[in-house]
Amino acid sequence: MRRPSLILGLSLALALVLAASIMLGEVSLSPAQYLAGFQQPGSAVGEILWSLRAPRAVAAAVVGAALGLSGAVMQGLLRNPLAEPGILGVSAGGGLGAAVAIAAGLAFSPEVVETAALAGALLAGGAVAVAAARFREPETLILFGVALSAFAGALTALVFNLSPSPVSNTEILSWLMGSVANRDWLDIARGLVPMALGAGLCAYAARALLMMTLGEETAVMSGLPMGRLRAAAVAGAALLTGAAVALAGIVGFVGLAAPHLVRAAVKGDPARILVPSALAGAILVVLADLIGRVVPTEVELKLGVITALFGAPLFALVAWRAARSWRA
Amino acid sequence: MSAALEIHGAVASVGGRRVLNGVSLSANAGEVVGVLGANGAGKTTLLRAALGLVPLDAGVARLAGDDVRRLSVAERAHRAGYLPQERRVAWSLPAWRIAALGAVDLPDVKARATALQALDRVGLSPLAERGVLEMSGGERARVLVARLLATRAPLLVADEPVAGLDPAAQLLICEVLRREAAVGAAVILTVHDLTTAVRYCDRLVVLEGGAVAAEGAPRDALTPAVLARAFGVSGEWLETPAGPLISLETIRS
Amino acid sequence: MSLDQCADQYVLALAPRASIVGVSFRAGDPDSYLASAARGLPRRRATSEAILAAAPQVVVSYWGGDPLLFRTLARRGVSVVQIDEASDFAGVRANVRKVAAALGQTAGGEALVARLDGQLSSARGAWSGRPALYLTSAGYTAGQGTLVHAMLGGAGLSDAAPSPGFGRVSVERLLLDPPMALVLGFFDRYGLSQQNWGPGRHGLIQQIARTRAIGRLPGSLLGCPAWFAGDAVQSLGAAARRR
Repeated sequence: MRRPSLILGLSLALALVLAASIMLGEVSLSPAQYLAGFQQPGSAVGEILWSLRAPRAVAAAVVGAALGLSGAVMQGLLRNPLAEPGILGVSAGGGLGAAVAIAAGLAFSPEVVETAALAGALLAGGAVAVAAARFREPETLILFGVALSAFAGALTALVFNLSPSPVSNTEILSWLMGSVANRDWLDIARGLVPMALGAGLCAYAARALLMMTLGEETAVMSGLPMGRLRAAAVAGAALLTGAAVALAGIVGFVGLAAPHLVRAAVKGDPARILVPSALAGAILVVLADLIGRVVPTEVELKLGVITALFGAPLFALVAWRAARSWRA
Repeated sequence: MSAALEIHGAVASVGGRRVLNGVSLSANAGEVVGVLGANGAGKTTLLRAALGLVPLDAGVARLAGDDVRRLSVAERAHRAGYLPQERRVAWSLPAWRIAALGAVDLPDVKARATALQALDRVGLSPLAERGVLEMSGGERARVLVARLLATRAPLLVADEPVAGLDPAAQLLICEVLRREAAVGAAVILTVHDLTTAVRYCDRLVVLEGGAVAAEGAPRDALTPAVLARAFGVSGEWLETPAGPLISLETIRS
Repeated sequence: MSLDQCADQYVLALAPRASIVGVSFRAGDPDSYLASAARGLPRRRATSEAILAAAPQVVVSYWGGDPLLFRTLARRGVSVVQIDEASDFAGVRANVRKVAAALGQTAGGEALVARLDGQLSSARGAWSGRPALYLTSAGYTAGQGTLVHAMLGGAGLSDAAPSPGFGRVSVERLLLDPPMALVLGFFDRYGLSQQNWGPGRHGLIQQIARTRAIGRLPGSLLGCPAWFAGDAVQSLGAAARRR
């Protein structure tokens, strides 16, 4: 499939899904109400459409795009279709930052929790970026990320253990499950800054990802400054993931699934997969959020829970297919 | 004119183990140099050290007269094309795209043209759009050789370019490399199969235990003594209508 | 409108029925104090869209919702009143008055406070300072600084908990030095021997509970810092008179 038409097609699909996300929700509206909502954005119905559902849908899209792009970059860098942004330990670092902030009693200010999550994520991301510049083997980087993830997870468990009250534990758990509820335009704008930076770094590193198809040594010998490009790729992925976690909590499997869905259409090209993967990620998360809002459970389904429920079987499928091709 | 590749007194260790114990060799434009040796003799390390991918404990490696340590990454890529032993391709990109990775210095249209040309030379034109992971191992290996050709570098360094290929593919690759040398490139490769080495290389360098055991034209380098010591086989040179051939047997103790 | 089961009780007790536009999904559960009053009232999710669609003026919450939700509601002129943790009856009174004021039902609030005070005065000193240990099925006790501690004191019991706050009961200590009396908490929901890995699984603990329990407090009275804590004090006081 030619790339411009792929990107066009995905963009169209995203626009459709966003429209659906604004039109559909917890409260079913009559056609007359929709009309009123369009004509008078300030009315109650208009409020629901434009200042409740719209920013939420856009936040979902932005988070999904960041995770999809980050996942594609990680898979290209590590030459492994099973890699996920969380593998770097960045998500776990973000979760730890938020947990500490909430346990410290700062939950009343969402901006503080958001900043703490971003700080935690970037700290972890920085460590991995340094490791990426030094260690050439993907396996080493993966192990480092897994260790970092485990360590952050252990510290988060410690926060739970020592937390002052069961209420704060519940708040932490709720945050960790991921959500884009009640995110407004300002939250999104704050998230876009590190995301844009991250996306820029990933674009810069794209040619390294393509070269990595043939392995580290060939890439080095092709004249690319691999240490710098690797660090840029990791830093970019860390910024994207960190910003996504800060905005929405931990939303898993999107970074794994989005690149997988578009890989065949780009014939596996790790540089050309970046933009389609971001678009696919956006579509996935907007859909997941829509499901969470519309399914009539007593408690609203959390975004991270929905992506995990759909993502884990998908992960199993991808792993099974990958194992089959390794055996071949 | 300086040699395309020169290495003097190279001493190198890998993983704490001394692999090269003072190796010197050179490769000039227009010749095909084959590096031979038993497994673990240091062939791959030698090539990697010559390109600056393995740091030398002692000695110096030069590409076109300049110390490889002083070359920028881009300049080094300009002077040498490298085909490593590891042939794992991560993604099933079309063959032409893989081959075009050798020509990243060219604009896209020219890179594609160069890639298609290279694929043609290795006999893979009909498979130009096929995903490389949907090909046989032999076809894939040829795509990687095409990528090497697409670099158009004056020095081609290939580590085991024909290992695991069927006889027709082996001969084809060797012909291609010979032709590169004939139009002015310096080609240095490692090879296991002695018959191939004898037939296609102008000069052979035999490594044993990290040092050069013999060097020279195939007939001169592969004496029975060298064959016994470096490879543990007993060999005999035969004159045939097709040229000199070497016949090997295990050593009877 | 109320966002969780504790807030439900406040809203059901204080707000005129016609003005209640929503209660939580747990309002009708068996452990909801005013479960019967919740019958027929619309259940709402604690999400901004559901809340705004119900168009309440005031939203009451104990643990329901989250800061981002409150920010969204506040921006749209919905006032959110939060029930605070209460460590004694003064805290309970403050909560009742706070919510009552927000709902414009100060008189109703004072009536609940008066009811509480009446229960407290009738039960005062009932047990004459007898030591008792509060024990939940999960093996927790409540010491100084907790509402349960205040409840025990309200009925004239002396809290035998070793440390302030909610702490785990040392099973060994319990066996070595069994308290004179036990007040069991949440035992309507969970029996003593049961689903979780608390000390209640142990046969010896069960025996102590059987012989020494002087009161069993249902979960509906314990999960929420509200005026019906007085019911607990009253029942403990009545148990003293029966002896």
